[in-house]
Amino acid sequence: MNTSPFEKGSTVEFLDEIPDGYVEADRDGRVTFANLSFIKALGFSERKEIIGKHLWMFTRKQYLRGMKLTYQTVIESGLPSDYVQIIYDGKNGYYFVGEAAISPLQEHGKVRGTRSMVRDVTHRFETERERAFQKDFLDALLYQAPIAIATIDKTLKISLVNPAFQRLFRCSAEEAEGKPMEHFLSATELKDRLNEYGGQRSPDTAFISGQQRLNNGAMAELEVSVQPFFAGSINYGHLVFCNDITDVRKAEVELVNTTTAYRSVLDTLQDAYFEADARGYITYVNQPLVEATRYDSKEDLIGLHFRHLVDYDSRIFFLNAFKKLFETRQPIRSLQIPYLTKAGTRFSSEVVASPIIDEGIVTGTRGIIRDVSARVQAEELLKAAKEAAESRARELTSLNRLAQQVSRSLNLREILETACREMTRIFPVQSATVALMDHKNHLLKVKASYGKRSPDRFSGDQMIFGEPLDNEVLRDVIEEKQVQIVTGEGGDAAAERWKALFGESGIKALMLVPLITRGETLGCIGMVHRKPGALFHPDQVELAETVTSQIASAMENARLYAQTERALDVAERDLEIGREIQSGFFPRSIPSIQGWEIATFFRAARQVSGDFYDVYPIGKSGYTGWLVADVCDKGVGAALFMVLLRSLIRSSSEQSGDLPPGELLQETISRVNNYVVRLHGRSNMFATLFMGILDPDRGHLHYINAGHEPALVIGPSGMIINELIPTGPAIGFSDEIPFEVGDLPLLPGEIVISYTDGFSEARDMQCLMYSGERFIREATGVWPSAYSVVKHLELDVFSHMGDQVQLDDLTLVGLRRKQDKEVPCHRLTRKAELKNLSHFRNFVAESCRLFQVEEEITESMKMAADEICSNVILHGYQGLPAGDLTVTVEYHESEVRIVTEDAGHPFHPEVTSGPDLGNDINKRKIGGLGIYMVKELMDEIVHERKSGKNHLTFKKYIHHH
Amino acid sequence: MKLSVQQIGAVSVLNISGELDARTAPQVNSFFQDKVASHSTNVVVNLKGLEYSSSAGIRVFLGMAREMRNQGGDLRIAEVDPRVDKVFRLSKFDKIVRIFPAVDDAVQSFQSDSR
Repeated sequence: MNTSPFEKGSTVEFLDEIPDGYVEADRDGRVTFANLSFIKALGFSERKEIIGKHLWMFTRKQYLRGMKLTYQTVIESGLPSDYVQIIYDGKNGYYFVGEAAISPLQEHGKVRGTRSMVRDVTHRFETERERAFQKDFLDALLYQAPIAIATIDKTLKISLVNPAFQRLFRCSAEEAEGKPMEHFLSATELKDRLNEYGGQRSPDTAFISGQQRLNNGAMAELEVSVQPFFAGSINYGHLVFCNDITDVRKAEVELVNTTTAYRSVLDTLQDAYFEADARGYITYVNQPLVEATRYDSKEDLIGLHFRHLVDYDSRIFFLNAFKKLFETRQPIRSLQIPYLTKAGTRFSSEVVASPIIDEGIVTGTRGIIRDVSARVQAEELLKAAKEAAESRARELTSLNRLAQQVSRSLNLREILETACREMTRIFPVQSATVALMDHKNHLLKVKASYGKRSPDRFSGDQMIFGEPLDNEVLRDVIEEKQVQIVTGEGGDAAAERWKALFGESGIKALMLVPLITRGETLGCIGMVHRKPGALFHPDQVELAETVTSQIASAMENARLYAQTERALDVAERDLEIGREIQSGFFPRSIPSIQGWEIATFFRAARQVSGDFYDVYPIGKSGYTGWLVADVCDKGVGAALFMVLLRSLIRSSSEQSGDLPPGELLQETISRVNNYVVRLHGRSNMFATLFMGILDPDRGHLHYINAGHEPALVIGPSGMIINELIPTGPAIGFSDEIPFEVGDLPLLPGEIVISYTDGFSEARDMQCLMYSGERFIREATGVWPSAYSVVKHLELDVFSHMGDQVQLDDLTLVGLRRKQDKEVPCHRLTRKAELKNLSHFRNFVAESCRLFQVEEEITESMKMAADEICSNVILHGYQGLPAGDLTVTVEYHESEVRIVTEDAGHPFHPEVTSGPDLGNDINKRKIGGLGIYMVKELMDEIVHERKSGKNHLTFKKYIHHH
Repeated sequence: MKLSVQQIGAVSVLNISGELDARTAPQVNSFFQDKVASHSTNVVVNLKGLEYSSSAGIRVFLGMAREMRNQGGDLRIAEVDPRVDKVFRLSKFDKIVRIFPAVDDAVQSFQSDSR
């Protein structure tokens, strides 16, 4: 028997009481002993659940190698290890970050195992990591931004510049960093404002513009804005945005000076140009403006009032600016205003306009509209990141404050008041008072009192505890932890001191009982006799001790409870923030691609864990990019990392949009991976992903599988014809292993399914995994649409899970190449059981919505399907084991058609007589109502019995408007 | 689906929300038998929050109404969602049972009956 010497009463108790985890293991790493703190931190309740298991089972994957090495070293060398940081994973998603010191367990001079003290440092770890993330997140945004940005410290020295800054000022990062900002902004007007601004910590943004000489001697007109930046409590100094507006100014100057012969040149301008008359009607536009606003032609725009191009909310603002232009004849230098396309889409723009002056009279205006969406977007992203970071810091502070107050008073007061009341019931005393130690001032403070008579009668009780602790009796109670009984009569010295008090308030006898928890005196309870001749019996002392020990443990529980509540609250808030970040970054709509269909499914686990998917057109390349990814961590950090990854992939692939798809993909993933490795190496974050780039016209797919679950290709015959296994490591692992690109043709009827391990690792009530094998088995089959297979897998995994908590995110994306001239249709097969009834009707409703059938008809189809399915479920297989029910929703030119198939008893809707819908409630029959309703709702119902199966077809005609 | 009952004077108000179909209808019936039928003969069914009902729902309401009337009371319905109202009209259920816009109206209709 490999028992621990600690399994002997008192030592075990001692170990169980310490807040740090303690664990012993044998030479193979099998647990031989663990204390309660360790057991509970892993979500277990009993020691025997852990004993005998490998410690490796509780170690998070990426720490495993390091941990095994450390253990081996300790065992071989017989020397204790340094502190190591490990993430421990327990039951039901419990985990904590531990700081462990591992030392050898010696026996007869031989090392027979290890013992580790494990301190839970989760909170510290996560706070630190989150900070690192917020900073990384910002770095990433700076890196991508199209405008020049520098960060400066309080002395206006540059700490960081982005690539756009280096391009604008024609310098390298090394040349810029460490230099004072005024080296670059030497123009006096800029310098003055910067100095003036940098000196204060004003939250406002300053906009300045002016002429600036660049490094190579060229002059540029810059618009500079400065913003302070705080993330949490960390001050990152200021951000300086430098926007080169030289071209805008030049165009503007030219505009004002030129009146003729510019129109042919205007079309070659990149910016959109307009002229309007004094009433605001457009008189001339150039080609770029037509393109930017998505109107059909110049003629389409000319004659239109300018307000049609201006976002509704900005019209008044816009109007006033132009009114001023007419009144003052001064050009509008820069008006930030969103403009509208013909279809009503908003784009951010900057308008520059000047008056057209004809013989001294302003006859109209001309100007330029510049699309600044990219810049505004970058600014908004930065602003959002900044706000998120700041509000997070604010929330954490206020939460802490609140939680402290809660743990200090709320429930404790209730407990103490109840305690006093209970004491007067248990003991024949007139009043009871609780006083707690104020360790700082070394005295007792009254926290609660209860008396059977009016309060003034027991005010004397409180005075007793007002005594300083040099009172011998009180000192014995607090320091010696002894129960004390004091009577008015006795001759002892201590009682002498209280005699006067006793006389004044009519106290005849007093019992003081210490409140003890974990060996520490929290305070004491005093009980008072006022009746003459009343005494405390010695056996009451024992009872009093028992009762007070219960109160003390209730107080301890209250304290622990308050602590747990606080921890839960923070965790819950974390979760919400994470979810918000996560949900905001899923594509709002899936692009539709001619000849293809895409179906997606995503369900977040209770804990945010950083799954995501994306489907988007890549720039103007005509390709569609799609990815499914799983960030290997949980919480806000993972969500932020996910957001970063998604934006990096999007922007990176769009930058390389003119490359052939294979190179595009390799370039994108390598660039993103190198970036993550370089900047996130220290945070140990990585993500697995499957990314595909589809050339829809050629029907060809290129993909990279970065350490992710294999994607499956299902052929039209229903067989799995390909598994797209990893072609490279997970993102963030290494920048030395290259990513290979796989490619394959996709033929009509073929489906590619990519998913995350939330599926394969979903557990049922017995903790059995759904498994990759079952996923493959269930994906095998002839599917008429992508939605059909996605829906089937979704329902199948949930039926496996039953009431088990969903531990990980579930993500699934299906892409299918349509067949020529196929009838659009979706199909679902489940057991004909009542628990599937709502699945069938919701499937029908969802299918109709995917076909964009109008809502009224969708509702009718859903109701009819429910009635038919109820019928099959309740009666179709009566006396037989429940068989399958298949529901197919087809979309034809002029009708929506539902077909149900079952192998139950023959069924004839026309035979079932209609119900009596008369108004006499007692005559009215109850059956047959469902079928009657289907007949009312549908335009046509046909029943056929074919090869032992019921085929019921019901249709609703549709009219295309 | 969520079920609850409250007493307003002599009238029992049965609150049903969620979705009512062949699977959930039997739950409504047994809840009604346990918690309502034994206390009262005047019942208002409050359907606020009931987003869907199939014919199985109508059948349950019909049975309940019949039972109350046989005992000299009545069953009335309030707060019907348009989607559920469609089913009521289709099955002509609205011809047999009185339907009110608000629970208060339905409860008051019992009080004015007894005056």
